[in-house]
Amino acid sequence: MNNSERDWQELTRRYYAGETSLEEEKALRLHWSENAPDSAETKMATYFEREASESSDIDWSELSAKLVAEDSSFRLPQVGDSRASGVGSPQKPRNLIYFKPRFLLAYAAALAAILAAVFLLPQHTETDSVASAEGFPITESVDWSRYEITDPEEAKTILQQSLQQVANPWNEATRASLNLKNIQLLNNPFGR
Amino acid sequence: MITNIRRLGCFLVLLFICSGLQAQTSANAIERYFQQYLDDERFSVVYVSPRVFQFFDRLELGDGVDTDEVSDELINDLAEDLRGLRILSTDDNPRQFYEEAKARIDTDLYELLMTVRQGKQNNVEFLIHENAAGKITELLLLAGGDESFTLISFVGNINLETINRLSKEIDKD
Repeated sequence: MNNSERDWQELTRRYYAGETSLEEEKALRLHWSENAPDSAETKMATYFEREASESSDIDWSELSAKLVAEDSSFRLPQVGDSRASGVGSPQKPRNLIYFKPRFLLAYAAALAAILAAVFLLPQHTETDSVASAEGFPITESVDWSRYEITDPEEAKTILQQSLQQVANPWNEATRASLNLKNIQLLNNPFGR
Repeated sequence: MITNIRRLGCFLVLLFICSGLQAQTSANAIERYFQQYLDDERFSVVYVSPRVFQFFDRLELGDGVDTDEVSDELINDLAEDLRGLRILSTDDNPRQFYEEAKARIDTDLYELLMTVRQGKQNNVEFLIHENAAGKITELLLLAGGDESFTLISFVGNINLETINRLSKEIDKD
């Protein structure tokens, strides 16, 4: 195998790897048609050339207008559009979400906003988190530490006094409801 | 299609943030309806945090109110489940504040447990707040008469049976 043949083989390998330039591809097609007219590469090159010449006859603007009329979400690939480049950039199914850098930025921003909302708003105590899990109110917008009783003995006295304040009307109400029940039983002993 | 999914995604993210914010802003009854009075000099405000309740079982019987051992044990049991005690009271225009408080409390959030009239003028209302699971998470006492207006909010896992037993024990004392 001489050097020239090796070069052509290397160029062919690069062609299939999608690494060749337009000039190199043109040279390859010429080489195939001259040296191996019946090879698969020559047939493939002939096919692509025919396809290219036929597609150049298409009025793309007319086709685009027609497709847009049928489906408003249709957009003809523009120059520079990755979808317009053909081989090497296969068309992606349209109903999939891609994690393109700009979307990743948007997702990151959304995540940052959520984290900011969670961590930068007034912090709640550990026990309040437990409360939240159980479904009752959590973080306060009020700084309750200003009114906080920190002496446990004083706090217990306050709780006892509060409970006493609860106890008196509570007992009165339960006694009254028991009396009412008894009266109802007296009036209607058989529950009719 | 992708645009729609993107829009839906954005909407869900916003919804999540909003719901988070709403959860953060919800609070006990005093904070919900009477926040403006917290800095009002006419009102006394007291707060006992859950941290302090944890020390209760290490204390001797309370000095403030005469309680026996049973009451003390019940109080400690109750304190274990409490996540906060808040008191708001005033002697200034108590009847006006009582009526205002009654009108302010959202009856969709707070269920009236009982109303008691003590004497001619003193009214007491007990209200409860339940979570989605049906557990009582707040007991609110609203008392108003000629002499004073008091709001007491017990937040935590409220067991009415414990409150009932405790009330009876305190009554005995």
